[in-house]
Amino acid sequence: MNQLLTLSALLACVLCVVSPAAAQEPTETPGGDGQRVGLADFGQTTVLDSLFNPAISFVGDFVASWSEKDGRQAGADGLMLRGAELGIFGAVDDVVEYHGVLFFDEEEIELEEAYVVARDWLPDRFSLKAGRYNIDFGKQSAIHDHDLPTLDKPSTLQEYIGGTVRGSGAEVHWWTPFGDVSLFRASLGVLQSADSDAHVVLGPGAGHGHGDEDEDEEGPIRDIEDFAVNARVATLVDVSEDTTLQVGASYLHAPTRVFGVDETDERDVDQGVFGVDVTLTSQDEETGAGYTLQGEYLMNDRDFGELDDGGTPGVPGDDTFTVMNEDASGFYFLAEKRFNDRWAVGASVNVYEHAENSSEDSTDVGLFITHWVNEFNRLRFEVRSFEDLAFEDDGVEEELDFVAFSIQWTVILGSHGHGLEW
Amino acid sequence: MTCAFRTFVLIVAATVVPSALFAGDPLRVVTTTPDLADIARQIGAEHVNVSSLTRGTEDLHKVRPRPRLLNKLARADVLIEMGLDMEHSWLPALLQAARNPKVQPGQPGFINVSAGIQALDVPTETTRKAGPDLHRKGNPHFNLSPTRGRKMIANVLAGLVGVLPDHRDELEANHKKYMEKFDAKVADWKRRMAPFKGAAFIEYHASWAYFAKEYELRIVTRLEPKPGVAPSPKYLAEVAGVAKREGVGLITARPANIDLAGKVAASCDAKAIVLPLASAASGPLEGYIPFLEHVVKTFESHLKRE
Repeated sequence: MNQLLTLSALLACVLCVVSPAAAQEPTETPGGDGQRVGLADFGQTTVLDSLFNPAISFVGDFVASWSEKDGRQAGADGLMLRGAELGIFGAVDDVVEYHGVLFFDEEEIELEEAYVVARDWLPDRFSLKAGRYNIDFGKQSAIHDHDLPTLDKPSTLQEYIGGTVRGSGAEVHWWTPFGDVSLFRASLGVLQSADSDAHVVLGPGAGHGHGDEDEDEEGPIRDIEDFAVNARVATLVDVSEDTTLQVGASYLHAPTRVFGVDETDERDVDQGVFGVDVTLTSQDEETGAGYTLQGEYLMNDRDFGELDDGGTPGVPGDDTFTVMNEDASGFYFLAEKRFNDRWAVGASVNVYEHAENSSEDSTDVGLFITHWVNEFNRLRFEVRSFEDLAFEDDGVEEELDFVAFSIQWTVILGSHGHGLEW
Repeated sequence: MTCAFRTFVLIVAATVVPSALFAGDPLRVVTTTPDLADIARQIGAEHVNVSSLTRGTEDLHKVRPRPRLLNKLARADVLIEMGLDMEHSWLPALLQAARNPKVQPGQPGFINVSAGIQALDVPTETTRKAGPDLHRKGNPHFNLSPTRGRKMIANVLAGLVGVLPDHRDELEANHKKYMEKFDAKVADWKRRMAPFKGAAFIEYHASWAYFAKEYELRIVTRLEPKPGVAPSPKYLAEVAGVAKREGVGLITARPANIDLAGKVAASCDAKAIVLPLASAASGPLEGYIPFLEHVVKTFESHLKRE
């Protein structure tokens, strides 16, 4: 009994001595450096851990526009939130990243982009983008509106591809060094659907255009041969320490099958756009001063379907559906002079034949001043003169001449890209 | 499929690194600044072929990614960067596009010399209200402190030994030789700067904190009211008042803002000077030691003794 008591007492003493020591152990860092660390450093302490949350950005793009009478007719006047863009980006795992961009304007919410990018598991500088995204076409088509050097996408791009071509599909990218100071890059994409979609304030695509979405909704289910294909090749050369020349060529083939006189009458209404672009950029990196000269020439080959009700509306028997083809071309040229990393002035001109009637053409010339208050806050003033801008009001087409004055204020909250300009 | 590709990439990486090491050709080392290029050359000697991505005159936060930089990174065996987000606006995009597994973060070929550096100016609150150009990890211009420069040099040595283990003795000997020169200059700089203890100067952007701490100088104010915020005329007038009151002798600036610095300097008997934040890729300021010598000489010439 005494032995048992003695043993119990000893055990109690041991426990008393050991337990405080043991209780303190977890407060030491695993590395044993003796520093006490907070509870959170030992691991997840909440049900929903935020540590691996994606990068988030929120961009606001506000525009105020004033114009002459004809411009007001074209809807160019007013104060508007051109758009607020919510971007969410992050690595899903060790293989893919996931990028999502939601666009909000005063009327609707739109999924602009949602795509995965795979890089590291593909060899030799290949990468793969899959999902819904802005396709790789030319220099300004794929750029989000708030990143443009001018208020809007060039009118020439608006006329032929709606500013931005966006679709669901997959795009493979590849590049290779070419000597010490140049490189070559290429991309090839396949899209289930290619919709034009830009949030244009002024120009032929003004209003929230959605390209040929209506045709898609009305047309038959797409076959593999109806898929759109896009391709781009470009070479970039550093012609000096400060100056880079880029020459590129892009192609988009967007076949569309629509119903003609009825759902048994399937017709091909295709579009092919070929573009060449040249960009010369120079920047003195001591002061941020420099310039950009950029030109892009587009050739558009587009079919149009026209339904003729045969003079007897409501009687389908004498309807005819005619597919017509129109070739048109146009270009834009942009020159921007940056005085430092805060101030820039520039001018741009668009000259283009109308996509549906190449015998008619339009021109616009603009001047702009851009001021970066800082990296996240930018103001722009732009004046643009439109000549023969095609405008349709209640089915009646007319051509408008007007001058519009715009102020754009763009703010960026959170994560934003510092990508390569290729 | 994924597994096969990853295995392929790993095999390529595993075969390319040793082949580079044993081929006898110098290791292609790319650095983000000329300072680091000079240090890598001093330590690596004939075992390295070093080039810098920048020339030392740029705003290192705003370098334009361009083909010549991308091509260098794509072919590099080793990348040495400053870190502390110094290169945040351009290096990550280049690294991602270069797709060079040897120089990706975490690989032996990626050397970040800010490892172990005690950063200054670490923001106490991370909100852009405190300044759009706020550096979350602290001031990245630690190369302006010779004491932290020693750590920088030690990090380059450790990194190069990691990729050239067979040449450890040689690299360590080169390092020792370089450090003898460096330490002699550090002692000289300390002696020359001692009389200026407590002297006041003004900078445009938060850059010179390490140098000021090293030599116990006072940065009495900055021309930027907050990092990344351009000063208003009213604010510049306030700065001029501070400069007069504190007996400021020197205002440091970059080429982009030397005009503003000059206006303030003219009103307060100070000198506005363009001071680079890194050595140059060529010319009289080529090399980390000559660059620091130029910095010390400039401060010596223009600071007013307390």
